[in-house]
Amino acid sequence: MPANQTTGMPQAMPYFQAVASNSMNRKSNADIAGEEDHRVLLATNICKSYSIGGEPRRVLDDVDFHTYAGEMVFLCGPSGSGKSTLLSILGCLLECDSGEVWIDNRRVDQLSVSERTNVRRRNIGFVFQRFQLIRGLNAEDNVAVPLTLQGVSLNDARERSGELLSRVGLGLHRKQQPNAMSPGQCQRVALARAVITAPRLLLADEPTAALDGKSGNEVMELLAELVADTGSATVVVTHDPRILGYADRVCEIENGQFK
Amino acid sequence: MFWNIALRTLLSDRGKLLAGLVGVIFSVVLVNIQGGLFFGLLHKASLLVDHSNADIWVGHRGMHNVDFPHHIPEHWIHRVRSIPGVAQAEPMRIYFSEMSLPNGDFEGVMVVGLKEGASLGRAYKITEGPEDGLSYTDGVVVDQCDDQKLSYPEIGETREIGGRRVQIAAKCYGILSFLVTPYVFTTYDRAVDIADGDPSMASYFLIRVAPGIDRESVCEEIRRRLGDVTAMTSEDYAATSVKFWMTRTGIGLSFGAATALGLLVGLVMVGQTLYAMVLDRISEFATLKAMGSTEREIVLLLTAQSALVAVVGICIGLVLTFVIQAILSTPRAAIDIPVFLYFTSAALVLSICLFASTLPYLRVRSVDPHSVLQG
Ligand SMILES: Nc1ncnc2c1ncn2[C@@H]1O[C@H](COP(=O)(O)OP(=O)(O)O)[C@@H](O)[C@H]1O
Ligand SMILES: [Mg+2]
Repeated sequence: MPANQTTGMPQAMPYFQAVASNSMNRKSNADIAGEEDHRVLLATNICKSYSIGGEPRRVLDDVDFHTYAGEMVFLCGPSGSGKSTLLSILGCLLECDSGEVWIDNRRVDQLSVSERTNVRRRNIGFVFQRFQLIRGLNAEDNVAVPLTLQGVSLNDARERSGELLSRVGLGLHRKQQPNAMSPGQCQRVALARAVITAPRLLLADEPTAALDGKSGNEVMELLAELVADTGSATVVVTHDPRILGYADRVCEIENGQFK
Repeated sequence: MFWNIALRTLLSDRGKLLAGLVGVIFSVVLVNIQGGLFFGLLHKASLLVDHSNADIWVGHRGMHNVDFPHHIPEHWIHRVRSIPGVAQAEPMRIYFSEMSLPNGDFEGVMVVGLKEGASLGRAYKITEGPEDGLSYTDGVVVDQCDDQKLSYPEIGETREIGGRRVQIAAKCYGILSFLVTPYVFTTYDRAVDIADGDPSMASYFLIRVAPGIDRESVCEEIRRRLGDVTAMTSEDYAATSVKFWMTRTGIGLSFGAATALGLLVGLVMVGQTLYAMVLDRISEFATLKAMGSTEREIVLLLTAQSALVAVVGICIGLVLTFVIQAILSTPRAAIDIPVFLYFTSAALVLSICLFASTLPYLRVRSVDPHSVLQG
């Protein structure tokens, strides 16, 4: 089911209530289209080169990009076209050579390392292709990590994480270790971890690439529902054509430029 | 949460955790046992002095080791006795000699001669045979711990020392010299006889001072009146004897080197364990960084982990040390672990473990979440 069900104010779920105040702009795409103020993410003239064997190679060439709250944008393109690089720049993991990145009307590309860390902690949720759950921590604790990074006590964080796990259909797997769960279940735990703080920005790099078609679809379905709840501006990198139906908007990138 | 992550990720890597613990335990046990053996051995250098019951030892000028006396005229003891504050003074003789063994071999011995009935210098306690063994004709007292060296002498058995007949009258336990040479206790007069020494000479005068008298000033007075002697408190002479072996043999260096080597092995094991754990989890650390963990939190996490490994390992190591000490410590190879050594070894190993965590930290520090989390 494509994620265009965001008509009107979504129902705030209990586990998001505590952070509801910092994500007020949960309007549907229709409402906010054209309103520049509501662009959670704005990137302009992004250029990035890697030096490979001493020679600079341009990976991103003057790219502009933006996302609205509650919007799910897909970044598609062939392998090596610079999708992950762009996502890392948007997620404050990587510095661009030139251009500007704004998150919530705050310029972030010139911030210091520790300020960027803080931006990630406060505003950004990440989903990775290989889940990247922490071995040794059970599902509940894995999901609780970002909350505790924000200063929530372990007990409160666990409680909220437990509720969210029930919400993503893993209520019975709270105490399970990642290595005892299927890839689909792991990715659902990872999704829960990414959204537990109701981040302003949700970035997913090939979230279905390590999954079979069926669990891939389930994960995308769930992602769409969660985004509807949190109102996070969401960017999904993929080259999986099967899931394109979930996109509100698809941006195709090739040789470092949007088509 | 960081303690939670630290603890649980440690526990989930059981094999590596075990390797790290073994490293810590190894270091702790090694330092304590090596140190204990060292102090036990050193202690033997001063056993005669420690158990002499004397306040002051007087010997030839420049005396530096209780086992190697340079003799002084015995009649000087009268001048010592006349010094105010000296409550009691007894002469003592120590000679090297050889005991003949039943199979015809010889064993070097140190003959210690004490005045009969004297309370000073009687370092031994009879554990086998009659209390008044020395009053028996030709009676000598040997140590049970030297049984093997002396080919298991029986009580009542006759042997020869320096060609003179002696009779094993009784045995004591645990009074051993720093050298391999066994002590043989006998009377003051018999000692000179056995060793064919000069009967007008003594090796030492042992002194007790009257209650409340300052021992240092008595030493001073003895030196002043006798000129050619050294007078030291028992503690000083014990320390001097220990220092003699320390400086002449360099055992401090060899024990120290062995201990340092053990610490190094422990350090490498702990460092390698933590490093392997981190390498294994590099993408998880990258994830934590991506999610907004600060450098400080990562340092804290790694420090907490090595501290956990260290503390648990140190506790187990100390318990193991007690056990090993209880089982293996004998007078011949005494494991004397001073209390300060427990604390020092614990502090040392803890700091080494914390130091060892800098290596994995440097690795984690260089992790760039962007590259690690790709694909
Ligand atoms: N850290 C890096 N150092 C050097 N080259 C890199 C690095 N990351 C990516 N690249 C190169 O940049 C190009 C784009 O990579 P990437 O953004 O991962 O593309 P995509 O995600 O679309 O497959 C690729 O050719 C890749 O080899
Ligand atoms: Mg990629």
